[in-house]
Amino acid sequence: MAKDTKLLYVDDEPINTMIFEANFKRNYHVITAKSGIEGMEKLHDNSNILIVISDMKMPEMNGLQFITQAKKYYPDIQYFILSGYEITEEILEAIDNKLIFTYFRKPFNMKEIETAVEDALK
Amino acid sequence: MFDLFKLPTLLKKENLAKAQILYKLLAGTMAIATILLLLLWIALPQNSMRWISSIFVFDLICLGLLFLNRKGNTSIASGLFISLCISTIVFLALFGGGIRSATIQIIPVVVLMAGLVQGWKAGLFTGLVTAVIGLGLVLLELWGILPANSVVHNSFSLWLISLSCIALLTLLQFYAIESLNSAFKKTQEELFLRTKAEEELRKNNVFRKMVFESSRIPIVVMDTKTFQFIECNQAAIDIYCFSTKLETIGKSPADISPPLQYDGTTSEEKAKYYVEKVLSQGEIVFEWLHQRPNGELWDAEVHLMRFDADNRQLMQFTLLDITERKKAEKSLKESESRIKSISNNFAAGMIYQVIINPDGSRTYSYLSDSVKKLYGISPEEAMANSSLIYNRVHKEDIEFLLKAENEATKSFSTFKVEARIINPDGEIRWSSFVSTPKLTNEGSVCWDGIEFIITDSKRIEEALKESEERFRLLAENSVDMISRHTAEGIYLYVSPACRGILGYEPKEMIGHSAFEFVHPTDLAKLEESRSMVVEVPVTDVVTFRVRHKNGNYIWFESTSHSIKDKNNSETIEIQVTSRNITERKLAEEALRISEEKFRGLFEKSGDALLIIENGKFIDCNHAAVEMLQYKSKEEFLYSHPSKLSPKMQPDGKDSLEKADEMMELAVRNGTHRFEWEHIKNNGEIIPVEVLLTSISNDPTKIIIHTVWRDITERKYAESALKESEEKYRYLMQNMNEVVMMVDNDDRVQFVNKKFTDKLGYTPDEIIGKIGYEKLLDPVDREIIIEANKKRIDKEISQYEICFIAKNGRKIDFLVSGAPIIDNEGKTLGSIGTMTDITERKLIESALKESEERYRKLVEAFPDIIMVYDKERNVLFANETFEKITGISPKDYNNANRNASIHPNDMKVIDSAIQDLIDSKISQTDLIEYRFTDVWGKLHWFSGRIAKLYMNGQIAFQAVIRDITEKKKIDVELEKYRNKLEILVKERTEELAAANEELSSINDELYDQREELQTSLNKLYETQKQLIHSEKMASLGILSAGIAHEINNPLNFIHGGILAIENYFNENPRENAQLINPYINAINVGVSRASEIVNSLNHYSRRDDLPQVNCNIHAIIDNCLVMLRSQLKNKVEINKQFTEKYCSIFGNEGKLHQAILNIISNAEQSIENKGTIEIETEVIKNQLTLSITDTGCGISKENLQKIFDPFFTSKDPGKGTGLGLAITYNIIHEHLGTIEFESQQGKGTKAIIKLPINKIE
Repeated sequence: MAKDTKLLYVDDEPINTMIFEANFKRNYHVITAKSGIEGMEKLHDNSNILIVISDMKMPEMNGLQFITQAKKYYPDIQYFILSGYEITEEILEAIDNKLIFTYFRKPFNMKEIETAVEDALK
Repeated sequence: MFDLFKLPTLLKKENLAKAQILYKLLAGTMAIATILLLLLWIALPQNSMRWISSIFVFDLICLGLLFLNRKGNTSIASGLFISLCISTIVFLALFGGGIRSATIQIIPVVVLMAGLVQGWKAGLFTGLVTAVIGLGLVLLELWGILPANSVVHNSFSLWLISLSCIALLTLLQFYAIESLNSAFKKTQEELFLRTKAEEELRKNNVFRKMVFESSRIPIVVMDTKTFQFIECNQAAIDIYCFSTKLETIGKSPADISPPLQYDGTTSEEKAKYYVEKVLSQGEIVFEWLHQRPNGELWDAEVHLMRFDADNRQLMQFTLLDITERKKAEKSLKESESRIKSISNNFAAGMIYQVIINPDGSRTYSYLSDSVKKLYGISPEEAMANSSLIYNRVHKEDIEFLLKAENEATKSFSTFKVEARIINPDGEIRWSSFVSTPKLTNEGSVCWDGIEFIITDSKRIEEALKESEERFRLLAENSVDMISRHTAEGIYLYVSPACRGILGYEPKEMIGHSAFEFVHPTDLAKLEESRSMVVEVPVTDVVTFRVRHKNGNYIWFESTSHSIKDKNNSETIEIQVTSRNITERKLAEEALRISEEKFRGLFEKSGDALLIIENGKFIDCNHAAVEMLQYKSKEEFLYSHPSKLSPKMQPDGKDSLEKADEMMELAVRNGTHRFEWEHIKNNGEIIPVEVLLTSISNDPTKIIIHTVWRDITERKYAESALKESEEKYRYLMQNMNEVVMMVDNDDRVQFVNKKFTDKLGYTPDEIIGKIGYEKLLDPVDREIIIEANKKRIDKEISQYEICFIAKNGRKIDFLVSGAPIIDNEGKTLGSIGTMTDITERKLIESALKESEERYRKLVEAFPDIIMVYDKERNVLFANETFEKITGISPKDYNNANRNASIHPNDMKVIDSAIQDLIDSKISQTDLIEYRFTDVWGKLHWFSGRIAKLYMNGQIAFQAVIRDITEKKKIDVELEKYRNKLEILVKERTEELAAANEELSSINDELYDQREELQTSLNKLYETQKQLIHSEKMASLGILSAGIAHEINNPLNFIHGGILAIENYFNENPRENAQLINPYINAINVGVSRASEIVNSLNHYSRRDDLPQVNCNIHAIIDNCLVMLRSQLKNKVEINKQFTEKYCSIFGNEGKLHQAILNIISNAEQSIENKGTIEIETEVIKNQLTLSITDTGCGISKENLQKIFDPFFTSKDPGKGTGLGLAITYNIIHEHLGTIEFESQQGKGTKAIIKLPINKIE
């Protein structure tokens, strides 16, 4: 758990990004984006982002579409989905295909996320 | 002594300074020591011999060192000197009487040292200081401050001496050092200058030498007078191809040059000329032709210049190899002249260069001489005025030409124009102009163009076009299909004949491979032909099938040949003429089949068939082989017929001769039949009838078709017949009856003995005569002719006739005539047996009278009266008979007469007759039967038959009445009756059938109604279920959306409170503890809400999701969460979950629904307070889930209906009645069972059994 670990959180709800940042900034260097497109920009602008956590349901580009796109450029980053939806076939498939590391459900559980991120960073 | 002061010249520079210092030290020390010696010797002569001798020794040593130093051994000398000084000081300290005196004694040494090292001024200063110190010391000793020393006076005196010595010494020093220094400096300077000069000289020489030697430019120095080379560098040696410098030096220009130079003068003269020139001008550059020792010529540019050295006038020159340049120049010149000549002699056209002026007009910068020929003007004229050329372009082409040129100019692309030009003689020629404009260095546009006269090729092109057109017309109108293909067989062209032959449009075939249309079995054949035509220049004909557009195959005979490229002999195309030969093919096929058929006939024929060609059997069928009893036809084929025959034929003729004769006859007549004897393989002779048919007109190839028929049997029969004839002849001859045989013309053939007896004629008198002419009254002739005619028709007849005997007596004969029929069924004549009935005739005529009477009676009888025999020959019938039946007397005995009894009634008649024959009855009852008359009309007869005997034969007499009319009415009536009956029957049947049908329809309808009712019910049920499941599905989608929408705000709350919590943890406040419970409350709220949403999510899992492993306990828990609000404060839940593995493979959402329904029902059955026990158990891979409530229970009659859809015990509108039906379906879908046990008022237990998924 290093404070300089850069983590990108993508969610179209500003409250979600605000709260996520408030809770995780003690542990990570949290960067937030309001959409997949902004997420891509943030990835291009910031080097060494190791973790990307994205909401599933977003306008224009959903979480998996964004991650699929991002993975093309940044294959070494570990990706996660944090969604208010129940796990879907699409997400299961993404986990099976190693597109994402795992999936979290809203409301988020800090411990769960931290443990998974630490696992991913090993 | 002063030699010592001279420095050795051989000293090395670095040692020099050292030597000087040492020299100074030694000299000084020696001087001091010598003075001390003198002083001591003067002052203390009595007790200082020790000192004097010591100092003397010291002096000597120093002198030695000085000498050593001068020899150059400075280091040794200096070492020894230092040792000497130290040992002296030690000596003084030990023997000089104390440190102070020693110190004083050291003073001069110190002074000397300082002086030597730092110069004389320092020496003086040091001397003064030490003198003061020494004086001070002495004074201190004198004043008693320092303890007295015996040395004082000595010291004092010594100090004085010392002082004076110092002065002297210093002076000496000054002089010595100064003089030495100046001498030394001078020497040193000289030395330096000389060294430098030497170095410089050396360097300069080397450099020059190096520059000269290493230069890659050949440099040679030559004497002006002798013309000889006196120096050269390596480059020069190399370029001349000499091996050493020695070889080069001494050579003159003539030695390295060919005899003559470029202008033809000799090299020697030319060299002289250049030398003189350089002497006057200083330097010149010229080209020179050289020759190497191996004879190779090379060109050089020579840079020759004059210089003076050693008072000699010399010359040096450098060489530059310009052979390549010369060569290039030469080839350039040659090519230029060649091009010029080509361009000027370019007969077929003109070469030119055009420059486009800024105003767009053209100027010719070059034109080949052919312009004179092509345009009738000189190049100069054309160059002056380009319009002289442009105006010659044909009016119709000029615009086009200029346009093409301008366009090419703009894009610098190539233009190619064909235009008409007017010749000087006024005729028009075709020229082609080709060029690519380019930008010149000056920036204008120009092009080098060629005008090429193409009139001829244009003409050829036209002719070609015409011929092509002709060919095309020919191809287009040809009935045969003409096509052109690539070497691979792709259609390039196909004539329109393809429409008629193949049904395709030409465009449907062009671009396709010919092979696409070919019958699969013919592909290989066609490919073989194609590759042959491509490889070998032949014309090939191939027959194959091509698919017509309608799918049928057409037979093609294609003639193809390839067109080769003249240059590389590669195939350009294949030209093919195809003809539809389907008709011919079919005919061929038919022919083949017919041939096969005939061959079959030939082979299978029972008659022996053979084919003779030129007198020999060439083929035969199986029957022939069998007849001759050979094993195979090969055993006797190709032999002459006589070989298969006995030597002689039955008529005594030789077989060979006769066979040839027979064959000749066959050829002459076309066909010939005869009898022959052949011989079998086993030697047996076999008579055959041979039929030869000549089937060839070709005299060189006589083919005769042969048929053998075995006539062994016939032969046998013939001979048997002959025998029997003999026998019969004899019999007839001796018969008691008169026998007579006549031929068809009634010519008498044979009479027996009785005949001659009766009629008086001898056989010779009567045989051969016409019978009726000789023997009958002409009145009776007709009778006999008639009878004979009948016999020709093979009729046996009996008649009475009157013969006239030779003596004129009339004799009545009853003649029984029978035809004589030969084997072939031909009537040859007749044989008559005649009985003399003259007497009987007399009786007969008496009878006749009485008969006449009866006859009349009978004839007039209205009913039929007839008599017939067993064979149904009518022996007698009255006129009525013929009237009714139409049977005339001539047909009485004709068994085949048209009129007959109806076959259906035959039996009745037959049995009646049989009864009569058997004498059971003498007369039948009235029999009614049908009879068809000769006109085909049907009669009903009614009659009786009675048996009677006529001439001893049984005959039948029938009296028959035609009851047709009556019968008709009867029949009609009968018919009506029958019809009526049938109608009634039909009606009844119809009615019955209709009835039956109706009843079956009724049944069916009833069934259908029942079915409809059930399906209606089902439909209703399904519809309800559908609505419900639709509702559930939309609820699923809805709840998933709601879950998401709730989860997000939950996330806000959860995250927010987490942040607040952290904030308080990091920034403790006094009252922070008070907030904790509230934070907890929020957390609990969030987690509970999240749990509900989660359950809802699980519950609403879509039905179409795949089956997964479901945790049944988690599902139950989820259901309880969902029902929390209903259960709270009302129902106590007791869970007893098994710990065994109990995963169910199924649809999570559906299982949720099922369990939720049951728990919900259980909850609803409890009115106030109660418990629900939920228990799971695993027995043998089966999960048993029992849910027991303490509710109101279910009545017995309702217990049976609970799974029925829409059954509900709830108030209308409160329950759908579908819950348990759906549950039941879900459990069954998961291969499980569900049952209820209930006691009204006590509670209900639902037991669900589900199979456990063994695979995890």
